[in-house]
Amino acid sequence: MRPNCKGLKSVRLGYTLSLWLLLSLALCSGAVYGCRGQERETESMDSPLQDVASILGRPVEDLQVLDRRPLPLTFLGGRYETFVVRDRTTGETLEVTLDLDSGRRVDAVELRRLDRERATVEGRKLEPELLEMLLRHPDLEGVQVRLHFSLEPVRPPGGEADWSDAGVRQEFQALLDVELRELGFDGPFGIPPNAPELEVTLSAPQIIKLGGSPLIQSIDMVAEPKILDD
Amino acid sequence: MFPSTKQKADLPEEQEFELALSSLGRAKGIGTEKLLILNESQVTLPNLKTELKLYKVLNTETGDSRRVALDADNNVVDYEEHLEKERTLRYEKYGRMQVELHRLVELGEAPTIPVLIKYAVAEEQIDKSRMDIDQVLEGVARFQEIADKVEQETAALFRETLRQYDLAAPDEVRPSGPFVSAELPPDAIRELSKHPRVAFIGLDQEKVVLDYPTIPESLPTTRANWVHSLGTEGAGIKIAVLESGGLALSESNFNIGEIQVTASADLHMTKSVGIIGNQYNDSWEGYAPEATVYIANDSDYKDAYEWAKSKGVEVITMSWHYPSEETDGDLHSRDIYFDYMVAHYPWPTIFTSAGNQAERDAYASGKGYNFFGVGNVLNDGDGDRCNDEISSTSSWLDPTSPHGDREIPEVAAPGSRHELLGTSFGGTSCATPVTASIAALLMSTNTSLKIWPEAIRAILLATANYQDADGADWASYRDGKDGTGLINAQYGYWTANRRETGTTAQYRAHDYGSMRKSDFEGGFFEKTWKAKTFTTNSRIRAAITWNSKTASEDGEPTSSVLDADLDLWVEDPDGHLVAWSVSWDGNYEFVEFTPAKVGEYTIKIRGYSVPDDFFSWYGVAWTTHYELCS
Repeated sequence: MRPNCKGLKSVRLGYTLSLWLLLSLALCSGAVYGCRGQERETESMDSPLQDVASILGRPVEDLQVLDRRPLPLTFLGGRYETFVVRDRTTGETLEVTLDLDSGRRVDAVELRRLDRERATVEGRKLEPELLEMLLRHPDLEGVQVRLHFSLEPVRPPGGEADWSDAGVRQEFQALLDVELRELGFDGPFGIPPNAPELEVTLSAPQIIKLGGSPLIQSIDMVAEPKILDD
Repeated sequence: MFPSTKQKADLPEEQEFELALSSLGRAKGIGTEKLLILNESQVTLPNLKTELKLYKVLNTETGDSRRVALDADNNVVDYEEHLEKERTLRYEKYGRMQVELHRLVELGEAPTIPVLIKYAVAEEQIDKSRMDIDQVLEGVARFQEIADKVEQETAALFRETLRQYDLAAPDEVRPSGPFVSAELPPDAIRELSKHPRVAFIGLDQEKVVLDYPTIPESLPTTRANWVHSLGTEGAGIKIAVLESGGLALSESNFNIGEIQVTASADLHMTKSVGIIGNQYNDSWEGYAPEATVYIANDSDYKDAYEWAKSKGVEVITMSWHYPSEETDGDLHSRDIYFDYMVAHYPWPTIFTSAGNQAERDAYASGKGYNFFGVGNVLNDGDGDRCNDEISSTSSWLDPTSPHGDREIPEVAAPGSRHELLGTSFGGTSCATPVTASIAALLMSTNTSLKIWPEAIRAILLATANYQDADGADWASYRDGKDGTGLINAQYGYWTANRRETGTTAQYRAHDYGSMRKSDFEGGFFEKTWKAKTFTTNSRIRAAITWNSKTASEDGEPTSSVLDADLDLWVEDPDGHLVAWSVSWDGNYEFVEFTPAKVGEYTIKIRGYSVPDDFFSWYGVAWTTHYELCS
């Protein structure tokens, strides 16, 4: 028995630890495994489930959780989760979508409609296929997209457009650099000299954020990502 | 302005309320008409074994409000005194230990228990209300010094504690404020709970409690446990999990044949493998725990398939889809690719998830003809197939087709949710490897099926009995969200184990072979089969499958087209047509009916439209079973 961090880390087999570490990273960001007090949610003390029970007017102990899944939205904020529960007493299967912040029931269909409504304004720089995909899968990671910049080439009178020698270009690059860094990119991000566009892999929220940038003229999808069905 | 006494309607029941009010009035020596109960609650003092009612009472004359406690006989009692007694009793029993930790300590089963200790450490208080933001920024170093001091003292106390109980000193102690984690034996925890410098000791690193059924609890729904009990657990069968990513756990947890490429750890991939088989909990569990799993994880699914093919894989499971499969009702390139592969050496059996986007009006995935999309039935773990329901998210919108009568997903399996690998797994992502595993069980018991995906499909269709999952009429699978139903490994096993190539009547059996235009006479396929039943309380299910055309001998451009329209007819012992399935655009037909008389029923394939160059492999299967869900 080693009552310290190392002891905690070695208490289970390595494979168990590696999964727990992964889960810890995913679920308890910032927590130092085994050395600092960390909270883990348990179903038995789950306040959203209590909210579901209250909404349904049934004792929480009568409810068997069959499924719970987040309801991510692309443009609307908020945290929502859908619970599918079986009432052990009546055998009914019931579904409730909760606003996790208020604990109130929400209409998932209406939320999705509002999300689409907002997309018509905030998503107009995204090509339609990309926008449709992000509306369906707001939590996608790793979407390969092509950013088209709003950078204008220098066009001398009578000459051809020139991308390579514009002071504004450097400024633009610097601005883009800042935007991409804000999204977690390490760079460097060279804008190709003769094509004001860049292929990058971004998450859905990152694409939405960049779509709001004045530096961006439009965003296309380069390749369809795989959608995991869990 | 005080609230009206009418607002007390939300408070105790009428009679109890009056009693409480008069007791309070007596206690305070004032008329009840002057009292207003603002709030009430019931409190249990478990160690004192007492229940009290607490009231916040307002004297409407003076504006004075007070807390008043009544016992079960409506006598006013001193709540503080009761509370103090409760605290004393609690301390005597638990010290400063969390009750749940106390339970584990007293249970004495674990040699050590992970705990979180909070030490009583004196610390300087910072009054930030007296500072503006600049002062706060200037004071950072000072604040850190205070925090460091707390942690240093905590670490020292922790070391002292360890020495006290003769426990090995750690190389490094990393407290967080006055908290430190440790793993201690029950005796030490008991002692520590009354240590004067310990403010609290409770459970740490609790495993997330999942209410979802485990795999052993879930197996009875598909009757896979019954097949396992016969010693058939998928041995000798190779399943490829075709998706990106690598294992997040050691390979030793799984029955891995080979991994295609080294890739970063991915939980989805790991769970897709784990549902087939794993020994995460120290013993093997899964739907086909003896099947060998190949990780076909090249990012290009064609390269992944080619690799799996080179490894001699017989079953492919894919728990993903592309976005355009949701929005386009036509066959996707993935459908056309795998339609072709199923019809070609080594003739694998392939499954893909239907998707979880039903609420967003998505087309189901698995639109290809020659492999199955799989729907997700909510997994309650009670083994009762009749009360299982399809998940509202399981995609079911059928592909576009000339007559609009294709039906996918073809089958469904328990998905949401299984407790798995210390977390949970659900959706059609989970249901798909469950189905692939059960296909592996069938191949394991009858190895000739390894190269007959058409027969495996027919068996799964014909044996997905006791289906009520989507609430639709059992006899009609059209527009059903679960296809022909929830797969049943037990009936699948029985049916897979008997191939009937002749016309001997069987309760349940299958057959397979090839068919050409020349095999049809008078509009019917030359072969027929006979299902028998000895009771009219049973039901008969029958299914046929064949393949789309994916290649042409003369080089004609062919994607994946259904060139023949075949129908399924069933005639009773007197030769009367009693059941039929006559879709236009599907490459399977399925019937389920209650026979009106005992005897032998003839299963026929009618060629409604068969081109001259028609050639396809086919599978046929049938079962007899009792109605259990009525």
